Amino acid sequence: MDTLNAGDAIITYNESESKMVFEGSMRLANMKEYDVVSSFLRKSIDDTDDPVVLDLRLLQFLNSSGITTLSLFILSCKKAGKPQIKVLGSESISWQQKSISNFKKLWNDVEIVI
Amino acid sequence: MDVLQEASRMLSEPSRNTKRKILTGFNFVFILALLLHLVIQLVEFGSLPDPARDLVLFPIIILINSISAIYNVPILLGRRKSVPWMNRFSAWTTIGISLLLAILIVHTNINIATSILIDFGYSVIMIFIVGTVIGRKAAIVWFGIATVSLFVAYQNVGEDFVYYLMTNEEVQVFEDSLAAGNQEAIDRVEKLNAHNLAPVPVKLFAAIWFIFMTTLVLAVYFESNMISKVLGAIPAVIRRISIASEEKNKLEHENMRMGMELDVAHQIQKTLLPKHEEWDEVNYLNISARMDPANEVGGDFYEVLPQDDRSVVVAIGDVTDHGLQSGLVMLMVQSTIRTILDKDGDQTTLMNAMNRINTIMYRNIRNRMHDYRNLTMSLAHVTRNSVTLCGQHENLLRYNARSGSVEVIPTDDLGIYVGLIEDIKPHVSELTVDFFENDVLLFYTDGLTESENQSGQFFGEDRLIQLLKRHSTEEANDIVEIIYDDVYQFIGDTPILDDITLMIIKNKSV
Repeated sequence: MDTLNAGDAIITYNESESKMVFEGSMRLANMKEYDVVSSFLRKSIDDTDDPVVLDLRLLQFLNSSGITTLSLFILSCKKAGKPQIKVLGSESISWQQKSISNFKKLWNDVEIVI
Repeated sequence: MDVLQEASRMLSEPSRNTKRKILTGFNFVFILALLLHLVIQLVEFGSLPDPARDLVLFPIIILINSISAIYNVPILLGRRKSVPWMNRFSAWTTIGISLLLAILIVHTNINIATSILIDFGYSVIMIFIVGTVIGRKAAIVWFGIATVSLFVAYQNVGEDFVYYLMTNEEVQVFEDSLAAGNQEAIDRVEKLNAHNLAPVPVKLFAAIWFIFMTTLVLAVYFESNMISKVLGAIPAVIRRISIASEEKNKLEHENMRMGMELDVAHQIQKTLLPKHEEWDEVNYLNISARMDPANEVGGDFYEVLPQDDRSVVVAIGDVTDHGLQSGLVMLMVQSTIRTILDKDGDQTTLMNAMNRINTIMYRNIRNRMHDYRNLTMSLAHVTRNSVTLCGQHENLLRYNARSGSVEVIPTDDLGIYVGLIEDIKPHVSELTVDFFENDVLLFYTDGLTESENQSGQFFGEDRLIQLLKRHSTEEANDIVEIIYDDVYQFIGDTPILDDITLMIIKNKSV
């Protein structure tokens, strides 16, 4: 299991389940600071052809630079045609109510479970 | 570790354990010398001639030096951390007992005349050790005590005392007479003993001076080693100090540059916002808007464009990230909106405008700026009795004067981020809702609802809804001010993390 601390958030990648779990509140100052998150995401799924789960149910807050980072990640997977992405979200978290459906707009193959 | 810390460490490293090394060397020399002394006494005489010294004082000195060595050696080997009070204890007890010994040597020795020589050779070394291990004041104190001791010893032997030395032949003749029982020789020995002037063999001098020299050479070795290491480190230290200085200059330069960037970004944001004179002509609407920038400029903007048919197109948006780049994106969006939707242009739908704005922004941001900034944006076309909404942004709040309630109109399905992908046409749509007399529209950016107080709570949409409901009869300008006052009261001293933008449009239906 790989772990990344990003501000007040922790991202854990469980390779055996191909599951990326986000916890806490992520409000890094700008896109540049999110580079570590992008690299972590990309590095983790580099060799996998299995569907990847992004579990956001415990991510209480994500600022717009963070949403852009996730969006770009999804767009890069769309471009590569893999891996398939399943997003687990929560209706009770306000940023997710608004933004999570955009991931499907960016790539229709993304599965959203909310 | 930064370069200045590193430089400081390099300078202090050589001297870090010097005192401890000298003290520990001194401990070992002392322990060995005294043990040697006791062994020689036992082998040579079969007993210890001075029980008070050999059975009490010397064991105490050996014990104290052993404690000090046992404490200090593991620290020197890096196996234990030093304890301040133990540092002081080991240094002061070792030095204290050694000084006591120096005084005793001179005043209780079996030969007070030769002990003057030995004692003051010893004092010279002790002044050096005391000065190095404890400090220069302690060395001066010891210098005073040793001088008094010398004076007393000098008085004890008498100022007329003279060292008469004998040749080897004379010593041989004297010892032969003594062995033959010559009464005169025996009397002389008794007389010498009575005056504390027993004969001392030259090998004892040699042994004592050898011990002194070993102690001194150890101290000098560690001390001068430290000095040469410090001198050797100086060029590297200077290099690090100059690197630190360059870094500091760069940082100051960078801070100044960022400060200027920030000023420019603030200026862009402030200059481009529409002035109320531009919409005052639309007399059936009462419009007020305000944008408070965060310390680090975000990318909030709003636009109000009266049309030829006296309807109004408004826009509100939020560019991701902060700083000059976001300010630039905002500048481009504002210009693009105006180009497409200002009153002199071709009539177009909000959807078409949104798609066009997106494509232009995508090409500029991605292809020219090589950046990933994007924005959420609502476009709204406000007429006397309706409002048409397009684009994904925060919820629109509409106060319905007939029902006295506030309706939340989500915009999630009306669009997607602008500037992130080249074609957003499939995701863009419009929604038209009623907008009658005394109805109030409230547009805001997330900086408002996500304003955080000191305990980390968000201001939230519910507070905003309540405020709109309570103050819907006030003038648009007053509603804006009331809401800002409430937000600032809520956040207290917490700095504004994101721009806060609010626009109120009231339908007066004149």
